[in-house]
Amino acid sequence: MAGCKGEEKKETKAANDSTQSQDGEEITVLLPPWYEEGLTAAIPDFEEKTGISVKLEIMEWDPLRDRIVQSCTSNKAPADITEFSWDWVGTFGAAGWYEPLNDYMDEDFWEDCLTKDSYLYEGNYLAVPIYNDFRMTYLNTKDFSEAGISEIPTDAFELLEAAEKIKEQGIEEYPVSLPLSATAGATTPWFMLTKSLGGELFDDNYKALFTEKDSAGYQAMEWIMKAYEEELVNPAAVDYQGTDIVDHYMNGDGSIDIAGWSGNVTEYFNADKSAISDSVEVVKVPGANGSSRTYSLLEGIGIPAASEHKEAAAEFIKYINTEEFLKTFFVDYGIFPSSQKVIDSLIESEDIPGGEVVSEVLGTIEPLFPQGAPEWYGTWEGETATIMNQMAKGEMSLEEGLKAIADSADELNEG
Amino acid sequence: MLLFLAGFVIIPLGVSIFDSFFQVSLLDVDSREFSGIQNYIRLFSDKNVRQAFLNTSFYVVTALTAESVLGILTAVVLKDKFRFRGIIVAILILPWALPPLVNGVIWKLIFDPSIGMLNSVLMRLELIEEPFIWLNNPDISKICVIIVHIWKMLPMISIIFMAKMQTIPEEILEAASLDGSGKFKQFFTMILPNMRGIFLITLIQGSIGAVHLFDEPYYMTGTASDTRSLLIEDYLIAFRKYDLGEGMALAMVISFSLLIMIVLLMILVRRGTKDV
Repeated sequence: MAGCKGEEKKETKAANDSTQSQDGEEITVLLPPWYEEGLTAAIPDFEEKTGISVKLEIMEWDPLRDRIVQSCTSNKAPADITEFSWDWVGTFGAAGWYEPLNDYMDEDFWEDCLTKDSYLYEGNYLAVPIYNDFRMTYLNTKDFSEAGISEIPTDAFELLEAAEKIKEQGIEEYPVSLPLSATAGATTPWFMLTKSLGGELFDDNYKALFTEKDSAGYQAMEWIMKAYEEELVNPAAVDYQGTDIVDHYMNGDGSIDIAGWSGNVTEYFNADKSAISDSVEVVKVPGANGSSRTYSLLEGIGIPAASEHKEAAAEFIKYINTEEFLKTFFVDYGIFPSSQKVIDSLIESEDIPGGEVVSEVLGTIEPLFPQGAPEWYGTWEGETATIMNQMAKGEMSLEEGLKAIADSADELNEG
Repeated sequence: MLLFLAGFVIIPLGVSIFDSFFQVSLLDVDSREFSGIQNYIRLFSDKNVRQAFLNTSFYVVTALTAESVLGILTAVVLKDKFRFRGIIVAILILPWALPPLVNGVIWKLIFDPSIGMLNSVLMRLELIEEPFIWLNNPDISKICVIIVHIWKMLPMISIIFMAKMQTIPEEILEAASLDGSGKFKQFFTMILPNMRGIFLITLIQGSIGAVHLFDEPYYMTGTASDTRSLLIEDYLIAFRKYDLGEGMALAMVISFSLLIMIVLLMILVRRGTKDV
């Protein structure tokens, strides 16, 4: 463990504070919608056990990030616990907006946590991973068998041909599911396919690698835009965010959720929630030449430095990181854990549908930026989503769009 | 009063103007570097800002036109007493009372291509054969946004017009009727000329409302360039690019453009009143 290795096992702040009671304190927790159901169910038990009351605030992804930035710039805590995405580490770390959590959690916790280093900033853990979100591809196998496709293609372009076949035969009007609204989620399928096709977005100096026709990034974008132009993707995708795609796919609209969330492995397979539970299958992300890669969009939770209830907030973080809670959080609500112990236990108890494939996919996860995420990633991601939205609406050609995305990165990189 | 003005208007305005000539990062607001008019030069050469300026100009022109025409018409209908008038006015005021974000949420659902009420009604009436994309269709997306904004602003504008119309003495209108002047003629020769003063207030309100458009387009279409308003662009510069200096510069451009627009409207309306 980078932050604690070699150090004498010290008494944690958590242990020190265990004698202090936060009874009667109220904390606010600010998170995106996918945590709402699971946390709402758990909060009464936490409140009863600790006497700390929890006010859960739910916001969509983009406004949530804006709210955090707005509050922190004026030295106010947006909440006592907030979402903390993997790509905010550099920016938020440099600004000193979040409390280091090294001493709030014990050493065993950090040792067991697979993805903790993503939150390391100058030796401090700025957040605790809560959702080990990586992307996989989900298929509605019923549509494939009805179209006479017995073997599921592992090549991205062959999968697109399979989608064309499904559409031609009238089995599914829009077989490919992906979002194309001007919101952050639109970029995920492109980033993921670029990795899966064997490429990178940038070189070591953050020069764009996706403008050449034979590059993986170019081909990945071509894949997406071709799918949209040929109406393999619902034309309404320009209005849809990532969460809309999940809802539609779960209702049976679409054959291929190309960049599905890891947590959907439980949602899609749950007969109470999903119309495709008996026919959905998870596969490795289709790539090229038999290879497959994906990337992680890790989410964590952190305590803003301006919070006035840090100890009580830490109690809540500890509560939702107990083995029992993490299992429930995954099995019932699809929040994929970062705890090695919990993942092993879930695989052993066969609680991960398609467990073997998921294990294989876990082995193909690579960082989106092997050279380190640039501080301007969040801004560039937003610009990229807007440009992809314009490309889908026919306001920019493929070449123009990719050039605009590359120019935007150059401009941000030059500061 | 002077202290109040200094504390809440003059000093913040002065700080904003001052900051607009500096390079200031939102991540480190204490360190700043003088950059002269560089922030302004960057703004005017930024195609996103130019597009947002065009979008906002469209919003202002269409909003002022529609709010004035529809506001007058609604006021004419509502100015006379009739049964259930009170209830109708109360219902009419509801859109204005809604927070802009809620307004955006409601209309996003109405315009939704898959489950939206609008497509469902149009398909039932057989006016369209398949679901239509409204909000992310570059041909009509701005119109959708401005319809939502007008829907919100119209009640207030109508009520202002109605209140003014009700101040015109009934006897004058009755006397005009006795002289053989029809309703149409009365409207153009007696009611409308009396409304010129109030027009200034509604036009200023309408301009401020249209320039301040943020929640509705942001919620309905995200940061899509064809609907992005100047305020959204300013927000993206200041809070996504963390460039507070350039953000301040754009805020100054927006504020002074609005000020010039208000002065022009005042001159136009006053000139019109003198002509009468």
